[in-house]
Amino acid sequence: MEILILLIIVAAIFYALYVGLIHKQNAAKESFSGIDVQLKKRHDLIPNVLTIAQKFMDHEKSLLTEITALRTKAESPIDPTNDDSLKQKFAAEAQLDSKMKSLFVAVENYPTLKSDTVMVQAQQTYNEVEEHISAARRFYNSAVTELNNAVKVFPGSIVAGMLAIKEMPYFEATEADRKEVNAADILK
Amino acid sequence: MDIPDVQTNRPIMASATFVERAPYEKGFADFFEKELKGHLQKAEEGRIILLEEYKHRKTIGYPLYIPIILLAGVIVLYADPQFGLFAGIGLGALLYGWIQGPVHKYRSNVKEGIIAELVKFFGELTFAESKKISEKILEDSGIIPSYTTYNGSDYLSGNYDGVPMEMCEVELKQKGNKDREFTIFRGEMFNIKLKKTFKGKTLVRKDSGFLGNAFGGMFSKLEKVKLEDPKFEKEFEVCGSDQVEARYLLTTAFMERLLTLRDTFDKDGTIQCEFSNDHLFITIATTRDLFEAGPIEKSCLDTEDIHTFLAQMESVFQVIEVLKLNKYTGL
Repeated sequence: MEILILLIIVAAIFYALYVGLIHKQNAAKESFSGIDVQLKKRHDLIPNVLTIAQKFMDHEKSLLTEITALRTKAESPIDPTNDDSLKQKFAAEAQLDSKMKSLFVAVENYPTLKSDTVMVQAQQTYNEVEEHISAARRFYNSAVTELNNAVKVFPGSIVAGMLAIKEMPYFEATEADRKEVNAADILK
Repeated sequence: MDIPDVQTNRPIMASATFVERAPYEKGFADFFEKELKGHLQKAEEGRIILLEEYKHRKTIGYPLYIPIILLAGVIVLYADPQFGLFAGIGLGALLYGWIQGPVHKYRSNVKEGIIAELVKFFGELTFAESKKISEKILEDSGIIPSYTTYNGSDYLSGNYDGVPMEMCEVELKQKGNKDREFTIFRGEMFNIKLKKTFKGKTLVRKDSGFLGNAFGGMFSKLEKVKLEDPKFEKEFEVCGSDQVEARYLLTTAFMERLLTLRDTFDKDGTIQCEFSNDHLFITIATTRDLFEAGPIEKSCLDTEDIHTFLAQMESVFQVIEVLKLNKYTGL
């Protein structure tokens, strides 16, 4: 009788850990889709910005072409449970973001474009989207922290191993983002 | 003519000047000279007359407490004790009201004459002593406790940089045992209409500890939002219907501005806020009054209170600035 009660308690603990891990994994996937939603908004905004820019920026055609290509690459669907796919996705989005920042810096050299009302509005909207992306990344990292803690800490780690539930990667700043900004490089 | 300050006993120049001390006070010295000083000097002349009246009433009134107490005592001892007690208290209260009459008149004059002019410095803002924020805002709010009586006053409303806003002093009461009411909230409330519309609701409430938060969360449809800032996380409990939107709103800059807003009103006060639909609603529990005149003995020409008031208003406007509530971004 005591053995039966003990088995029931162990089964209940196992079930609770199992449910907890599945919830946390789903929360992390949901948070990733939250980033995706914001990234989609950015992707949708980029063609508008490029259309306005190419009317004025005759000498930046290569940059505009590069951004279009990066956008197409970043839009490719991925499997959010695959670590390598996630890292590639983050890297592609980081490259796209970097090129868009270069574009906005280049806009400063075209006074007519810089003061164009539509362009100003587009830049403000783009900045707003970036802030939403930042918020979505914070949520993603928060959800991944909860999942990774549950996967690594005993006894959840045993259940996670049995169910093949792995840690997910954090969204981290790139090396370029971590480097100190050299004003001389920008102002030359 | 030099007017002596009764509290410090130092002479105060009849012609006061305002010295700008902070960047947000830029332009106020000019406004002070052109728009406000005339009202201050008029209020100061009125204050001196009312102060004399107040002193006169105290001289006559305070000694009258003796016969009132004696009369009440006689009635209590030789007639009806209950009637004697009520008569003593009633007469004493009437006498106190009469003595304080000039003080109330002075405070009312300052609000209507000076504060109503002072707020014009910020643009399209108006002041009304007896108005208050619509009760519907409180009823729909998730940060206002259940109450039975809502008293509001010192209502400020208008536009800051194109953002409609209103604020007032509030007292909320709740009925307790034997239908007696007690105060459950006293402080300031701000309602800021936003140019952006938010999909969901985000609440920032005072942290009630593990059990308090758990109990409060049991009946709420909102999810807990865990933030990275340990100081903010320790002081506040955040919950929302959209995790991404909550983090978009609660950036480090905003959290810092919220705490600065609280500190400029009352370091010991409790601040809470709610983002819902198209407005931001903020409450600061404080025992301090924002729009009150100083003591009748203190000169109206002393500009220290004006510096404090400007700092408090600036902290409210910074909340609007940091959220870019005054910008339409197309999202």
